[in-house]
Amino acid sequence: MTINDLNIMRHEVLLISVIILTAILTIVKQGRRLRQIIIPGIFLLVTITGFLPSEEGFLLGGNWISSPLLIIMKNILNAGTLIILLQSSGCLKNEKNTDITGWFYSLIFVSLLGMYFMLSSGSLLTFYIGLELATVPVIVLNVLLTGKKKPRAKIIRFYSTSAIASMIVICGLSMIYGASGSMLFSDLIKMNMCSITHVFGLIVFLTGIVLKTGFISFNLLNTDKKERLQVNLLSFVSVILMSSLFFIVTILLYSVFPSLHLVWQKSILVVSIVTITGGNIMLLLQKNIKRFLVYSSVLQAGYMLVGIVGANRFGMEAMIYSIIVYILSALGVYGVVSAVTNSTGKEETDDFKGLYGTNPRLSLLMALGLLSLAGIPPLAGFFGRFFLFMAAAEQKFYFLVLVAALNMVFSLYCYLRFAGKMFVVAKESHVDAFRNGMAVRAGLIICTAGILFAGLAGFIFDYLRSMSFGIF
Amino acid sequence: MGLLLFYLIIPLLAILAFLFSDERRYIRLVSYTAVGMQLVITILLILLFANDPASKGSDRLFFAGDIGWSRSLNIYFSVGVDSISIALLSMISLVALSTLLASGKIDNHAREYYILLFLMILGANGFFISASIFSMLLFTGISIVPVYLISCYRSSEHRKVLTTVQVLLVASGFAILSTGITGIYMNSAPDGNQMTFNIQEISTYIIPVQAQRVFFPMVFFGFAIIAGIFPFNIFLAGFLKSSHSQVSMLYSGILMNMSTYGALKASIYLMPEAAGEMSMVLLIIAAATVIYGIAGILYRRDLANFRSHIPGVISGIILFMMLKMNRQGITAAVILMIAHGLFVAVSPVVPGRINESKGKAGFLITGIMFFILVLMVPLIAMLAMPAWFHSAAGTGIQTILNRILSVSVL
Repeated sequence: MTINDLNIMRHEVLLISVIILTAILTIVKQGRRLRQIIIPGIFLLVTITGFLPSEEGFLLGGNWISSPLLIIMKNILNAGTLIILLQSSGCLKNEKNTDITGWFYSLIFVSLLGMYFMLSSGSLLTFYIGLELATVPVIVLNVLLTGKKKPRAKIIRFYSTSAIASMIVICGLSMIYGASGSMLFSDLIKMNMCSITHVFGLIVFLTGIVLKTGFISFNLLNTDKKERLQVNLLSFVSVILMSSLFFIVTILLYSVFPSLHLVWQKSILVVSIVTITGGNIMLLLQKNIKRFLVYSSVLQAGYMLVGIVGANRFGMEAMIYSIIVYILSALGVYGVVSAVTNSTGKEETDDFKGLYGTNPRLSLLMALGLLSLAGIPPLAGFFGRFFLFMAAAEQKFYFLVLVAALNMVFSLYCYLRFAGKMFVVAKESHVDAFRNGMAVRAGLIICTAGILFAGLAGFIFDYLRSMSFGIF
Repeated sequence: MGLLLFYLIIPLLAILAFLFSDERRYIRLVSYTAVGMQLVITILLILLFANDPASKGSDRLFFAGDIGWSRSLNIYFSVGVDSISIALLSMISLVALSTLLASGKIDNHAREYYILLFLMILGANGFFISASIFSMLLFTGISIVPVYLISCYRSSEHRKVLTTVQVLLVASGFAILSTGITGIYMNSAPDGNQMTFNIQEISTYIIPVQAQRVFFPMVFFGFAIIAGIFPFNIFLAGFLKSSHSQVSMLYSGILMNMSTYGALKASIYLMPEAAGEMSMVLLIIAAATVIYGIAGILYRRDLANFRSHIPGVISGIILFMMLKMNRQGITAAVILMIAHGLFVAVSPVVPGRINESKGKAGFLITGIMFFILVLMVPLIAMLAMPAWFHSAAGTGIQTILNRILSVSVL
């Protein structure tokens, strides 16, 4: 291992040092207020250094890969995590929460490190290690945040469902390994996979991934009211973790299993139609704001699958672009919800009635975020959606595009129905006027600017297209 | 190009200016200044265009220009106007002015109302100056949501259902449209060249007829649903009747004219072969729209109901004349669009005034209204007649059917 190798692993090395620093600061009892400025500050520096030009290459005998594409993905995840840290700082500042501040930061960073490993993995084994490293801290953090209140049965259910999903993932991976005799992606790429074991392994593997994210998100929903930082953790799972899984699954499908594309293209087509339609129906039924947001991310996941179906380079670019847009819009909505729930503890959709009367700026941002998620121009969401459709249309999946586009009408109705509640002139407002801290505001301003201008800034997409996609 | 960009800059600046203060006089000052500036720009545009010797009978776009959006995908925000869009732009400016005049009495949430209004004007302006189908789609989308938001907040609870249904119909039109426009882009360069959204560049190619058969109905119906074509217009009259006069002015004056223009420019102009094949079916549908609207008018007696059916009828007639696909028909359609816009700019104000005064003035205003209608009918007949005569010049079953339809529409 030389210095040059460390440069290739720069993101990971920096993040590990941030984790160590966070751990030290957590042990030191003094300077709690300072801690909340230092840790996000250092992470901001790490995020900025991520954008510096970096080298590509292999490490650990091909088990670990770095390419320009992966670096873009890591930078996107970094930026999203930074926004979540800013949004959660308002709640962490509270005196009651000083005991969990250090834990919160360090576990979020460890989970992010897991996502890095997952993205950079060069073999099925490192992929699985990364997956576990990304998901286990979330479960631990959930238990820590809820403290002693939580019944033991719920915790056991959380662990066991996640473990079952992991078992399914391993089952799929071992089938693929057994059929091809190698774990390295570089070997798998060369192989012409056509046996039934390959197909079955791939399907089981993808099912496991979906179950893993699903179980974690829905177990997080299963919480009592007024639990601290639950919305922020939920946003981390349903935005950042979901994005990273989308990245890695797309990479795997496009570059490791292209020989099976006839199988996965058709099945993802069906899955995406089912996800979009089902997500819409479920979105319509929700009364709880956290459930509403989780089903909204299910819906968005369905739309991203539309882009993946167009199995080409354009599909990859459109997917990355729409994930940038999704992170900005969803975190805008999550930011407002976390500001409201962290300060008042209210989380029913009816509690947001008349929010415009008391907190006009927050409700405007929320409306912008919801409209962007619904895909209304000129907000960023429209452009992301349009490129996904174009990627599918390039492969002549016009029927899928039409179904997805018509579903946009339903989702527009769902989002507008909720957004309309905030602008109703209510007799008594459920949420009083409150002020946010500087950091929370900074996070919200970044999201607002992103929603308004990311769509109009076409150079982002040009930049993505100009990148050489390296090994992949 | 610089002149055309003012059509976007002025509403944007007005929206930004509204953010600073919500004092009523300030808002009125800003809005009247913005619309006044837009009128001045329009007059300037018309003068420059009329004095340009190249403007007589040429197909090329004037004041054309591009702003790169995504160079690698060949997506540009291209602007450019021809005589049709200049006429429609001036119509939009007048409708904007009359909407401002009609919305003097708005007190609660005035700032939000004006922001949405100018967003709508921005969408319409952008739509008529754009020369690429991507920006047409973009600006259609920009105009849809403000209509919903304005009408929702201006309406009482029971009216919201109609509004929501109508806007969801419009949104589904938008969804179908976006699919169709994606399809046009994918088929805009059959030889593997760089694909494009630019209308001029696409029109130099012939899109494969196989693809035209799929995407022409999508684009045409996408726009026609917004314009209120027959099976999709059952909620239109109710929506226009129940909503306030400002909303119905915006909807029928701006959005419906936008979409009929879009149907002309993005579907019939780009895919004439498929349009020719399907014109008979579409003519029947357009005629049905007209007949449905006239039946609606005949059953109603009061002015508000009467007025709410007129936009549907007129947009049916416009689509009908467009589908004749000859020069006279399209000219007649465009002039009717402008006449419709001006009519709309005047008419919803009138019943509102009648309801308010309920006195002697009511009789006078009804008289004026009647006068306008009397003017409209010969106008329609005069303009449409050459087109009908022209299209009836052929022989065969199609022509006979055509004649029957023409007579029934008349």
